[in-house]
Amino acid sequence: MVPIVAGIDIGNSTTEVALGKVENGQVEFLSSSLYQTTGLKGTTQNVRGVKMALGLALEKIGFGREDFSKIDVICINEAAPVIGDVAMENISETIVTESTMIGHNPSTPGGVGVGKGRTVHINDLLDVERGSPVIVVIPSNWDYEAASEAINSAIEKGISVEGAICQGDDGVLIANRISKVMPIVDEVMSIEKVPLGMFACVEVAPPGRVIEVLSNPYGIATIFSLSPEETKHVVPVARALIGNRSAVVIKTPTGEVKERRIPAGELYIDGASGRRTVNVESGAEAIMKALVESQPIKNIFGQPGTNVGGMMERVRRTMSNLTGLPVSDIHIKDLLAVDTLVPQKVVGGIAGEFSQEHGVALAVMVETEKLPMSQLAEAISQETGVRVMIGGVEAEMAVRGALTTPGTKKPLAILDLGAGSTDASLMKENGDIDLIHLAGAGNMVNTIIASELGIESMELAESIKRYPLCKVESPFHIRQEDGRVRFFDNPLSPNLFGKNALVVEDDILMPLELDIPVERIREIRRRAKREVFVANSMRALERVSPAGNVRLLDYVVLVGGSALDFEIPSMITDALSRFGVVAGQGNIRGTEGPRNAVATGLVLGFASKGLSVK
Amino acid sequence: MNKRCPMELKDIQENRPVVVLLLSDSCPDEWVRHIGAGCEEEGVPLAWGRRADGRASSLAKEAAVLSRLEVGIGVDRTESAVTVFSLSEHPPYVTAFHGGDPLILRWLGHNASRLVKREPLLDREEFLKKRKVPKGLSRELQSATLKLAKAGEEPYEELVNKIVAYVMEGLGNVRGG
Repeated sequence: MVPIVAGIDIGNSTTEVALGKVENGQVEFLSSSLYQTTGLKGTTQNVRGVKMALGLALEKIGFGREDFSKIDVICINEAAPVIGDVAMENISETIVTESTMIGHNPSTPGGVGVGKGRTVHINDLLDVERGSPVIVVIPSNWDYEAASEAINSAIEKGISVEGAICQGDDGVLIANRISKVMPIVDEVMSIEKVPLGMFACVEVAPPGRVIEVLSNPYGIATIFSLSPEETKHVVPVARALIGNRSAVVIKTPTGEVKERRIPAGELYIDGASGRRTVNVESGAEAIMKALVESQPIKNIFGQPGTNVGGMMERVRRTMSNLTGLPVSDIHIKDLLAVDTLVPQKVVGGIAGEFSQEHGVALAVMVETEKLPMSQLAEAISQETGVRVMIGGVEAEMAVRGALTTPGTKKPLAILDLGAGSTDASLMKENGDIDLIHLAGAGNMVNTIIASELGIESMELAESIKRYPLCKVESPFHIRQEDGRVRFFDNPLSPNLFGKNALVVEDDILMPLELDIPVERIREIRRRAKREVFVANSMRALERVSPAGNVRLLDYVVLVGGSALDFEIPSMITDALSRFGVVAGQGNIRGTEGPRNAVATGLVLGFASKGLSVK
Repeated sequence: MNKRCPMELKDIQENRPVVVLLLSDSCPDEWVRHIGAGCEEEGVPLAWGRRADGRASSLAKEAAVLSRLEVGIGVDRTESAVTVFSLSEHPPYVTAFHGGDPLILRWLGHNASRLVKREPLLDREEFLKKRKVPKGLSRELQSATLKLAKAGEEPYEELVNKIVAYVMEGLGNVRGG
């Protein structure tokens, strides 16, 4: 009986198996499988996942799931433990004090134009003296018919009503019933926060257009007769209102809109030439520059008490628990910073306004030499009754497996696009391996997508990363993000109508409750992937390529979970082609795509060593 | 033409692009005003007519056929429905028991218009939540809270009775509409 060898790659999120018959240094592959990794990689918690994956592979060749005795040897990889984490720091915020501005941009404001006057409650409207211009404030317990009548009576009496601020969604209804054209902003949730007796300006643009006065600091200066000094202070107001179809600005004695830089803490980078300190709020470019100037990095710390500082300590502690090494021996060797725009609720806003604030996403990574795999090997052997061997350096196995991709040859570099880290290994002509791990990978892409879209759920961010977008235009058709239209035989559910959705599978659409155009979501998704994976591909290959020159590499194969993504591989192919490099998604054994490289390499490694099964 | 009142079906020119509303005879005129407010706020014209009888879903389908914008609303004494012409062989896209509630009727008008405009439909519960609780009720609840603050001194049963009474009062205010 020709011995059957199982190669098992236990990764951070998936455990992959390759089964092959090994005879005279040759391998005939029988089946592959994958299952999610159970527990933290490198611990005995992994055994359950290993058994499940083995069982699936056995089933594919006609054996029972527990038929472990059919396997003669199990080879597991010598895991190179790498733990990565991500944090998002907001570095600016907008604070409105004393309710100076309303900029929530309701979908159906009423009327049109620019109106200015003192704010007055509709209850007191008819008591206003003639000739003094007012802006009437209407809470939702006033029916739109009654409010319109009150306004018309006031106008008849000679009261100069110049605009309205309305709590309910009644802007158009009121505008259609009053005798004068004026701007009406509606859907103001916290109408009780609108200061009364203050000078205010309401602006509504015609349909399809945006406001021009209140989004211009000089426009605000004109309306409120501001001094040049005061005009400087209204710049954040104008900025927050750019692109709106409607807005209100109210002048209160001490109220203002402030944009603040939030002190997000310092980073301390210990490098060849000593310690460099950089403020997180100085942005990604400054941080990455400091990093490059400090190469080779010995360690990185974040300021204690900050978000980033806490994240770094967490990563160190996790690795310490995993390896038994003291925290002080765990070194953070790499960091990736990416600038982001994060929608944040405006502090003190009246109508739930959001503004785009600056943020920095930071990913870090820790690695140690080797994980003690013997305990895990023992446990697997116990539970399966099969002899377990630890098969050698993971990077070497990965490249061996990658070399089964048609069209490749040594020297070959592989980029492993994972969840927690991006790894690159180069196998030279003589079989020597250079290897590097970098911070920033799939999880960072999710974090950036989540922050820039203002969503909390990481599962939703992951789905937006993985699946293409569409807009549901009718009960029977969608328009995909590439502009093509798809029709359905049966009507789509009403809760999909008019919404953006993810095309999860041919017939499965997942509605997005985000009021953001498809093009913007697409742009955010692609930018996040580019800023993490394309940037890291370049960074990694520069480190492993001969003389730091990527042009000297000929063949690069992409493996790992994110190499399965529908657009990341082609982004990297595109970026690297400019350097004359052949780069693309791997196709292990010509059948497995970018998966199973290490598992395949383990079986090949066993065969090539001519090892005895006994 | 007055852009604010929902027009009667018999008064409009044949080709005028409108959403059509058909009500069964037993429904009061008042309901047209509420549905019309929803359409008007969304900026979509509405025309309405009556039918002697009929269930909401078949009225909605007939209305969708009559409507140049291909969206129809059907209302009977208890139920309402909104549908589009292309769904004639399928159940209506939106249905609701309205119970004469002006807010639900208004919500129907909004959603019929949003079907025309290809905008996402408004969730009914969220729509009602945003627009309920007139100021009067808030004040009642406020005084109720004050009284309940002393509740610790009262026997349990009396406290339960009090809570039930306040809640019923509150509900009564909203229904009154």
